[in-house]
Amino acid sequence: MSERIIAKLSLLCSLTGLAALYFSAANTHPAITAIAKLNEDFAGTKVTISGRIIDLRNHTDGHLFLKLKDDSGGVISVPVFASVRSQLKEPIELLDAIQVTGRVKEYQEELEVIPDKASDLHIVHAPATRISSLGENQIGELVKVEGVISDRAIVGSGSLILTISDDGCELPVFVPASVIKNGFPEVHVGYTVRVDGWLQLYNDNMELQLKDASNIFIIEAA
Amino acid sequence: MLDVLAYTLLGIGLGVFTGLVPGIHVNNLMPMFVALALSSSFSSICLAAAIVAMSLVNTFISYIPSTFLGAPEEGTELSVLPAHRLLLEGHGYDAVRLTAFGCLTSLMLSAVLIWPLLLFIIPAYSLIQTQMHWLLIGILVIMIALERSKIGIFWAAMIFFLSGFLGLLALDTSLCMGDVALMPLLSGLFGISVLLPSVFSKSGLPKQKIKDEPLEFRPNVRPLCAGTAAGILTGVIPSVGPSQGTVLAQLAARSKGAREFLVSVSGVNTSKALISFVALYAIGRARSGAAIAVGQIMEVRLRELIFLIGVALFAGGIAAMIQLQLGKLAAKHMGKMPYRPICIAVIVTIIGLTIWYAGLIGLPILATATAIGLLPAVTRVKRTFCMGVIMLPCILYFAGLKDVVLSAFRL
Repeated sequence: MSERIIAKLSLLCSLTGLAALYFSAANTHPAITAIAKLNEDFAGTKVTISGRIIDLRNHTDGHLFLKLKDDSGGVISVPVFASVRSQLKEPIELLDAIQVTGRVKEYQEELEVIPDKASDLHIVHAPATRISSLGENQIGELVKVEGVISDRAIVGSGSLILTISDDGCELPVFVPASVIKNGFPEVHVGYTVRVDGWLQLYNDNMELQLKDASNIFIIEAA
Repeated sequence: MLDVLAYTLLGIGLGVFTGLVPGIHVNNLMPMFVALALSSSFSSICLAAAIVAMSLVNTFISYIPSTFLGAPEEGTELSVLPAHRLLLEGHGYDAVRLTAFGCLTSLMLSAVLIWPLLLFIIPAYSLIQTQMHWLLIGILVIMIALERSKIGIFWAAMIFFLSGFLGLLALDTSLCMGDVALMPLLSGLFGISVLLPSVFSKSGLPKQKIKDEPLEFRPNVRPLCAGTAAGILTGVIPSVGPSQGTVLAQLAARSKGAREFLVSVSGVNTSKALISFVALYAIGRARSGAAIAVGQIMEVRLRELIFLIGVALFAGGIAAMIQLQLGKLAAKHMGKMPYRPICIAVIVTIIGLTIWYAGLIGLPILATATAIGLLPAVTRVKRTFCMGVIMLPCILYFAGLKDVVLSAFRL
């Protein structure tokens, strides 16, 4: 066989192989990787992770910074940049279960998974817990409750205490002044809201503490 | 002291094993060492000595399969063609001698250069890192321009981009996890594609000549210095492997012959292996699997660094002797063995290892890499352009364009 023919055959095989690999790569979704398994070796590769949102921070530029924890016990940051966030059809809340496909990157010596587009995020909203079912054994845990604001009081140096009422049970929600200054929405008595926060004891009474303005969602304004 | 010696010898033994068996890399054994260090009473300094000895010895011994079987490991891929050419001319042992010389002298030279390195290159590393893509693009443009004829330039660019796109698909998409695709990529581009013509030709291996007269030092000084310098650079800068280092060294030394090339490539590989431990001490960054493992086992301060360099020099001296003896043994017996069946057996082994490492998806990667790897020989351009498989993803990474390109292709 002449070298010319071998060159043509090799080129044809190369192009066919590349085309086949391209279509496979474009249509392959990575299997779910345990967060605890992710390390520096994964940097640059695309992975899919699935877990619960245990921390959520809003950035003034519209970015959303999530922390995900899965059953492996691993925790990883997922920055959802404003360009991707603006395409999302539904809000992301604390405690939601979320599946993220993105590239692993190292930022300030920490790994993060960065989704490229809104379709890389699949969100399953966690249902709210009934206030009546909350107990002191859940102190320190992150919980989600839903109800009507039955009282609203400003305390101290601009902090807010909202009382949420659900099926006859009430729970105070403490909103620090620092959260109020950072985009906390205008809420009044009679509004139906969903709140994500950390359950804590204050003067022997259970209350929920909000850590970010994005942890409250107005379901219905009065 | 005796326990350190015993562990160093164990590391040398494991380095010989991982170097001789194509497809088994020292990195495959690193998790075992880290687990031993974390879960038991094994002395961390002894385990570190074993790791350093193993990684250094591996760089020497891996030239034996890459010369006699044409089966490369990461870092030795560019040596396959020149070494194989010498083998087909009956000078396989000469190729082994040259790589032993390159590895050992480069190891010693790197050890001497460590102190000036600590003062000069490492503080400048962040500056080099930010300009790395321009450096790599510059190297690529010069490499392509050196092809001179228009058709040569066309094929060089074509092979570079074909292998580069293959690298992006295999290493940066969901096809394979982590770096498992490296094995089929390198074996296809630099292994099977070199062996295939031997399978189809009826001629066997010529009788191998075993020379024992000393190597000339003077003609090898330039490739040796260039190889060591490039190895130092690749040991400090992330994501730049020995192969890119060899391209740099080849340009710096302006070496054209296969012999100078082998000295240069082996120098890059060994000095990178040593300098990766220095980088661990100086900038706190691990630049090799072995350095990552040592960094996980113990904190590397100046005292530990000096100890590790001592272990590396000791292991390197022994490795060179073992490499020469094994090389002589292989040269004596390879001529008598049926070369064609050996080539077929190696190809079958590579296919098996590909499935073992990367799963079935490794096979189309291996086949495509082999098809691209056949192009340089038939179009008469340098096989170095197949290094696009790593260089193109590296250029895009350093330029901050990798994600943009992958997104543009919807990958």
